Amino acid sequence: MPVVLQNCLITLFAFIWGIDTVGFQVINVLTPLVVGAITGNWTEAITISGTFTLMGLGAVSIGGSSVPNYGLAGLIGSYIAIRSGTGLNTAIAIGIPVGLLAIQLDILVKTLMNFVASHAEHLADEEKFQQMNRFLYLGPIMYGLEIAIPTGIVAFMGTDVVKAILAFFPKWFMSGLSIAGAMLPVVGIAILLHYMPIKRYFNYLAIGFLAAAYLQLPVLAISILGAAFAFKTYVDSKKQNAAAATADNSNQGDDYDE
Amino acid sequence: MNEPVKLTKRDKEKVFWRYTIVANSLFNYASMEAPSLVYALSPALRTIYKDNKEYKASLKNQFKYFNTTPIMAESLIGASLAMEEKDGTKALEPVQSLKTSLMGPFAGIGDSVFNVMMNTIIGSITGSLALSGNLVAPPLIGFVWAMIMLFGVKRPLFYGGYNSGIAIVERFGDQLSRLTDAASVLGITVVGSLIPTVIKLETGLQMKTGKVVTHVQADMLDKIMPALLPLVVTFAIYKLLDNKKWTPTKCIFLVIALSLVCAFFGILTVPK
Repeated sequence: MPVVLQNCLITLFAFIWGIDTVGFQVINVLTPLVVGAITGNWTEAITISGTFTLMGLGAVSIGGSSVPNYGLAGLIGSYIAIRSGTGLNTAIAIGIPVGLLAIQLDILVKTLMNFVASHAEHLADEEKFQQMNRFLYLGPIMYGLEIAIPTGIVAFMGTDVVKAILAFFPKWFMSGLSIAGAMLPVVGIAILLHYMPIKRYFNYLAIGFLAAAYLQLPVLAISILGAAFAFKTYVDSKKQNAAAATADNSNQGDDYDE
Repeated sequence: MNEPVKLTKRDKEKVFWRYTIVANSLFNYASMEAPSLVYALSPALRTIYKDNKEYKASLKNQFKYFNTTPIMAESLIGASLAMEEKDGTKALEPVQSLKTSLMGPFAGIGDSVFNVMMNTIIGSITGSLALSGNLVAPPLIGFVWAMIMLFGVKRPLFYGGYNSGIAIVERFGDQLSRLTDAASVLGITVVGSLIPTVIKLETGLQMKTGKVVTHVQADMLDKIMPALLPLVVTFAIYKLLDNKKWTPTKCIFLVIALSLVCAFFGILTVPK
C-alpha cells in the first residue's frame, strides 16, 4: 500500500474513532486490527496497543474532566512506529506527547461546543427545527476532527512537527493549560450544586467531602453511603407525611408537595 | 392541549439509537450533554407535539444543563419520553426535576461502575492479552463487551426507564418529590466527594526562612485540610454563579485565564 494512501486511511479512521469514543464505543475496540490492516503488521499493532491500554487504565474522563488521550496515543504511536520500523520506544515517544496535546484540544473543543449548543438553542427559538437538528451534527464532526487533525499532522508531516508545536508554546503556557484542564471540572460541579437543594442538605455535602478527602473512600463506597442516607430520608419523609395526614383529617395525604 | 399521542416501537427505537450513537459527542462546558438529548429526542417529541409552541417549550426544557454517565442517561431519557408522551407540556417540570435530581446519583454510580471499574477490568484483561501477542482475543473480548453494553445494559436501561417513567407518573404521582428528595441526598453526598477527587489543584509556592524551605502545598495547606484549594475554588465559582452576569462560559474563561496567570508566576503547578 502506498504511504499516502496509508496516511489517508489512518486519518479517516482517526476521524471515525474520535466520534466513536465519545458516543457509540464499539469501533474503538477494533483499533489494533485496523492499524494492523493498514500497515500490514498485525503483531506489532496489537502489542503496542496493549501497552497503551495498560498505560491508560484509570485515566478516564469523569464529569467532563479532560484526561490524556491514551487511545489516540496508541493509535498514532503504533502507526508511526510500524511505518518507520522502529518499535515500541518510538511509539511511546510520539504517542504520549500527542496524547497530552489532546488534552488541550479537548478543552478547546468542549469550549467551542458551547457556541454550537447555544446556536442550536437559538435555532430552536426561531422554530427552525430542521436546521437545528442538522446543525447539531457539528458536535460529532468536531470531536472527530479533534482526533483526525493531530493524527493527520503527525502522519503526513512526521514527528518533528509535533515536537515543534510543543516547543513553540512557552512552558508556562502549556502547563497553564494543563492546570486549567485539571481545574475546569469545578465549573460543572458548581453548576450541579446550584441545581441541588444544597441549603437543606448541606450536611451530606460535608460528609461526602470528608469521606473522599480524609477517608479516601472510593466513589462506589461513597455512593453506598449516600444511598443509605437517601433511604433514611425517604422513610422519614413517608413517616412525616403519614403523621401529617392523621393529624389533619380534612386534608388527606397530598399536602407534602411543595 | 393536544391529543395524547401514542409513540410506536419505531419512534422509541429511533430515540434509543440516536442517543446511543451521539451520546457525549455534543459535550460542552455550559450545558454539558444536554444538546445530545435534544438531538436524540427531537423526532419523537415532534410526534408528540404537533404545535410549534409546545414543541419549542419541550426542546428548550431538554436544552437545560444535563450531565451524567451516558449509559445511565439512557434510562432518564426513556423516562422523560414516557412522561411527555403521557402528559404533554404538563410533564415538563416533572421531567426536569427527575433529570436534575437523578443525574447526580446516576453519574456517581455509572462513572464508578462502568467508567472506572468495568473499563479497568476489561482494559487490564485485553491489555495484558495483547502484550502477549494474542491477535484474536483482545479485539474479540472488547467487541463482545461492547455488544453486552449495547444490548444487555444500554437498551434495557432505556426501555426500563421508559416503562418506569410511565409507572412513576401513574403510580407514584406525588411520591415523586419524596423519591427525588431522597435521590438528591445521594447526589449531594457524591458531589461532596467529587470536589476533592475530580478537581485537581496544587500550588508550587515555597517559602524560605533562613535555610528552611517550606512547601506551601505539602507543609501548610495539606496540614490544614486535604483538598483545601479545590474546596475554596468550588465555593468561589458557586458564589460567582449566583450572580446572573457570570454565565458558566464566563466562569470557564476565568478559570483558564487564572490558570495561565498562575502558571506564569508559578503560583500553581501541574497536579500529579
